[in-house]
Amino acid sequence: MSGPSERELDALMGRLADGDRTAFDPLFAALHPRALALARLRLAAGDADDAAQQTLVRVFARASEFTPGRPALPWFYAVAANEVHAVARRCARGRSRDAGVDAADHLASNDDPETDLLRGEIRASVRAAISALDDASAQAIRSLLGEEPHPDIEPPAFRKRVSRAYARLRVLLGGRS
Amino acid sequence: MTPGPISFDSMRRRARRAYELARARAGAMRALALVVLVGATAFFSFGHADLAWLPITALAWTAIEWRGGALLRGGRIGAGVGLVALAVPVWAFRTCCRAGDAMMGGDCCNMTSACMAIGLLLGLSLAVFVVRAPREHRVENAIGMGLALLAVASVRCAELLAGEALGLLGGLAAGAVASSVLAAVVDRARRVA
Repeated sequence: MSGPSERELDALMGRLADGDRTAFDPLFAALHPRALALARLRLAAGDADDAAQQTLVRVFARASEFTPGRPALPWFYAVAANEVHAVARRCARGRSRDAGVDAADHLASNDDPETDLLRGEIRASVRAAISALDDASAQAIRSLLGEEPHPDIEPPAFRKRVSRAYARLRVLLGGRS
Repeated sequence: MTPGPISFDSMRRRARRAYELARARAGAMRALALVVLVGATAFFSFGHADLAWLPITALAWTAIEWRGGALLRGGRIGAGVGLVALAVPVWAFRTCCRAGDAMMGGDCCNMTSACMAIGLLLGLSLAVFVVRAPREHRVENAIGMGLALLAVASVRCAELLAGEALGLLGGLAAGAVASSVLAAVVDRARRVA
């Protein structure tokens, strides 16, 4: 993913949220390959195009809601993941995809360096969002991922904490509460 | 059948349209909130005749919100000053019609000079804000202030006579121009110092 750095993307998204149209083209050029690569992780080429388009339409329609100063990529990936998920669900309902050429392309594309880079970027975005949570919520999610020991609380209390932590994480990633 | 590939330009155009439409929609919603505030102020201050001007307020504020940036920052200040213009009591505009005064004739209540003075004062109060705006955005900022000020204060026009309304709007415009000139002078003085 060449192009602007994450910090530059944050600034571009902040400017676009403020109404500065000159930020649109560089931002679109930077987000377009990310949307496409993310969609291709889960969908066949044609559907991935459709999902990428929907992602970009949704991201730019919500650009004015973006809070300047916050990281843009976690917000972008949260919106993109929702759109890809919605298209995948629709595709699964609408037709049964055979596991032929499309799947082979799909698997091949999963190994390319760009995909690795994309996965790294998504992982980093989610980690940054988890770090921004309060200590108890961050610990709950990390222990769920097996990265930290289970906190010394009763299982129902832990489940409640995880549920709250997910809700906070969703908001932090730009989803609706 | 799998749909064909979507070109970069086609996606860009759709994303841009979505961005502009979303801004216009959000702007219209905020304009609605401002119209309710201005309408309520106008209705309780001087009756329902003034509500006919509210579409102008709505249109102007939607445009300001849609454009965003320095125009919106200036517009917020202008709308605030415009609300002050709405809140100025009627007797301040019609100095000879204070409580107990009798109507002396057709011109008695047509106090254009008082309206001009109030408008000028409100317009000049913008100078404080114009000076504080970054120099490269000052023109856009001042236009936003003026537009929002006139959009909100114009509601007052239905309640005033034509001469008074023109006096108020002329005063606001003159004040806005004067404040911009003042801002430029202060800015130059700062640079020299």
